[in-house]
Amino acid sequence: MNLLTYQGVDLGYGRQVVLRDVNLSVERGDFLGLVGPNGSGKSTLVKSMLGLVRPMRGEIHWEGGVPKRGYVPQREQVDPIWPMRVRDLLEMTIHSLQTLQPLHRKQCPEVREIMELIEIDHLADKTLATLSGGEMQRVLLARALVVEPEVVVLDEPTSAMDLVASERFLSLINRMHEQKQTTVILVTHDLPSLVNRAHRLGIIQNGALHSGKTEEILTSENLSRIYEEPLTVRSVDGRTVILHGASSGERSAS
Amino acid sequence: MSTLLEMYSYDFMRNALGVGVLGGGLLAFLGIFVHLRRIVFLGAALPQVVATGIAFAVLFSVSPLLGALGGGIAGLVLLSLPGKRSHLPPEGWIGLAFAAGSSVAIVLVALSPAPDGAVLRFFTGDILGTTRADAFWALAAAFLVGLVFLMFWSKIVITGFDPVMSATLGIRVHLWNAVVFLSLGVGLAVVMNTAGGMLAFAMLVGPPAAALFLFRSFPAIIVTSILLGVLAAFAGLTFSFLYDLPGGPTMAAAALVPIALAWPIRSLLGKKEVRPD
Repeated sequence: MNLLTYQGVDLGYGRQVVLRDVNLSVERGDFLGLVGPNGSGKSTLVKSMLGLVRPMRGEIHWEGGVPKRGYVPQREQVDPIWPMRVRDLLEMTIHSLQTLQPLHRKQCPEVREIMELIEIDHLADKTLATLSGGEMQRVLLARALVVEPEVVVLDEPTSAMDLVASERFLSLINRMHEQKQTTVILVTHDLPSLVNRAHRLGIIQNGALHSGKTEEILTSENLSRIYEEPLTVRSVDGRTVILHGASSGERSAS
Repeated sequence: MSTLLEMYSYDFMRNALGVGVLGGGLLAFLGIFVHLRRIVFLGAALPQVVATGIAFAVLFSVSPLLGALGGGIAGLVLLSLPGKRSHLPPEGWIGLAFAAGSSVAIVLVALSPAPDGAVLRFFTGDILGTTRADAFWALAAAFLVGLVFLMFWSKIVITGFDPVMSATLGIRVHLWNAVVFLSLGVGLAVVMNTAGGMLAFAMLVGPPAAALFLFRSFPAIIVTSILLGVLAAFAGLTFSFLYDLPGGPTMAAAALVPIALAWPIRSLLGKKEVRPD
């Protein structure tokens, strides 16, 4: 059963439409990858999923009501000047959902559990300002998970990471997804990083979203049509790779 | 010691100390959030708008404290209206509020039938003219703001740190922003009503800046900032009495001393934070 459905949705700001006629479905426990170039409307789509942008037309429907959502922003969007230790941030995130602040500091078992899952227990007493980019991104993932969300939305979490850190972080997402069965929506501009991870893909190009199951979307014909240039999808050692150029011609790996 | 006891045997000095210590401590606490939310310019413009409220109150023979509160709240509402998609950046609106607030207040003062000295005290401050009622209002404001922050600490911090995630979790970000801004308006109104805009702004930025410079945990920063605010009020008032200096500006200068000392102290303690990348 679909957890989230977009039906004929137009998204934008004021009178300016950024994405037209978005149709999308996400099942419970899915891993949806959203891809698109800078300025294509990925963040607008994410904001609509977070309830921060309302549709100009069409309907966004959450089956069973809007679920608890965790959000992992790009790390540049959070300000490390705030004088908090990692443990404080996670505990305060839990306390912020309670009506009143507990007067006595309580140990939150979910904080320890999440820090172990995300492998940041050694960072618990470090302040945010002392974290590296990769560490900060893992802390932000832990913060999103500590409220036990049904859906985790990650907005270009690897945008400022090197290849190794990026791969490590995405593997962590995979492990988290498998262990907690949380629905994951991951936004990136890097299609190859998603092809062997996401169950579903949404590719934004020229103001339109092309979405479907990964195997349906990832065909040479589809990608060549969406990106308006010849692309070839191949399986190499059991992994899907995308190559530039037509299948019979010269090409280079991407 | 006997000079100190004699100095504070006068009612006007005790009242001034009460307002200075309570108001200074309150603004030193709220200033932490002014720095962390990166709204220091707002902290500079707001006293000017509060001054306009006071000038209005004097012109229409209403309580200056009510005028200060009204000015503070109106200023915060007006400054929070322009959204991210406004044609002017937030700093532009804040600059306009600063210019409008300071000029309109002076025009209103010129129109006021009250003696010039009585009105001007609200701008330059006359901490020695404070009454027991002023000290009571400062105590009430400090208690109220302290209670609100204690009860809703995590919501206030988390919404300031990451409004998007907070909104996603269903926390009413606008409400908690309003709570912070309203607290700021109340704190500024209470201090400006007696001590003027200069002292209010100095307390808002000086002690918290030093505390943020020295420490990286909320408890240490809060305790240090409030202590520095209280100490600056006490030291400034004492110095002003001993050396016959104007009270408000001396306290304001004292509030800025800690940041001048914080750098060498931090270097001596060898506190350095290095981000790995």
